[in-house]
Amino acid sequence: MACAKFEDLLLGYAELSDAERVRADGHVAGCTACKEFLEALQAVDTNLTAQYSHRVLDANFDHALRRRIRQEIPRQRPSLVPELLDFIGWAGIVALIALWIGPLIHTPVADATQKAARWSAGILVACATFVMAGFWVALRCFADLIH
Amino acid sequence: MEQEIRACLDQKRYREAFDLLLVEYRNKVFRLCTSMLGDRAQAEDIAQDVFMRIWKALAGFRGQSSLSTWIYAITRNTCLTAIKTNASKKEVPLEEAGVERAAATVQPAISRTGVDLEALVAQLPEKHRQVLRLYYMEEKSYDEVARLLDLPMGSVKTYLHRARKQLAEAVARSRMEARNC
Repeated sequence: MACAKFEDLLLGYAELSDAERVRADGHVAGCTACKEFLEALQAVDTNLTAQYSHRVLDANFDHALRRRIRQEIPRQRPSLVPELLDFIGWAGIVALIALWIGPLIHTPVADATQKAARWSAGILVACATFVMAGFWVALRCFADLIH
Repeated sequence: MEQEIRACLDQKRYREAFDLLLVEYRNKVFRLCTSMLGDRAQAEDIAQDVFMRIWKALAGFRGQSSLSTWIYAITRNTCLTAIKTNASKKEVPLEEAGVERAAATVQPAISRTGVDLEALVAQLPEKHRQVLRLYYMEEKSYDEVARLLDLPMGSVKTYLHRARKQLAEAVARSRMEARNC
């Protein structure tokens, strides 16, 4: 057992200031117990440094890890379903709007009855467009959720 | 390097971020695993589990803590799970298992100090053992040991002080006994 007063000093021997080291060395020179403790401590440090320092993984680690990642997590291809739904939805809406506006622009107005009938058809197509747009938005949200 | 990895993560280039992260942290993670588990082969397996977890969670990393803090936390948690699994698998008491394992793995330490140092290390309390191993693996940096184990610097110094004192006393005692025989 080292002297209690010097034990802390010896445990931090490597980090001592010059003055502290002179004091520790002076004591160790005349105290067998502290000398043995310091020698044992240095042996412990030397051995554990040799045993534990420069611990690194071998080169095969990365290869094995990447193989495991490939096996456990198959590469996912992005789904095309939402994009396809976008295309169909927009195409449908554009077609309905064209169907609605087209006759209003190009066909000359004959009489009041025809004009009213055309407006009714126009409102019907507008409602259909609105319903289809709603249906498409719902479908798109669902597709986003599952893909 | 951490900034480069974060830049890749911000741009959702996960594979590239993972490659950089693996180069930067592979040995740190391995050493932390070794310090906590003691056994090299198991430390390698657990390090692989750690990087699998990191790969799976990388897209969800929000940068609330530093990348290294996040990685070391995953490593510690994975090691703690492995320690619990080890403990539940073994029928022999932990202390005995530590001594057996140490005796089976490292022999050269005996010839130089006169005692089986690894067996003595295995008998230390868990925190002392982890701090001691990591201290020598991380080139005696208190700061790095504290960061890796998420312990206050004061605790690291205290654990290390006690562990080295215990080992030095055991070695000194053993040498004295050898001289008296």
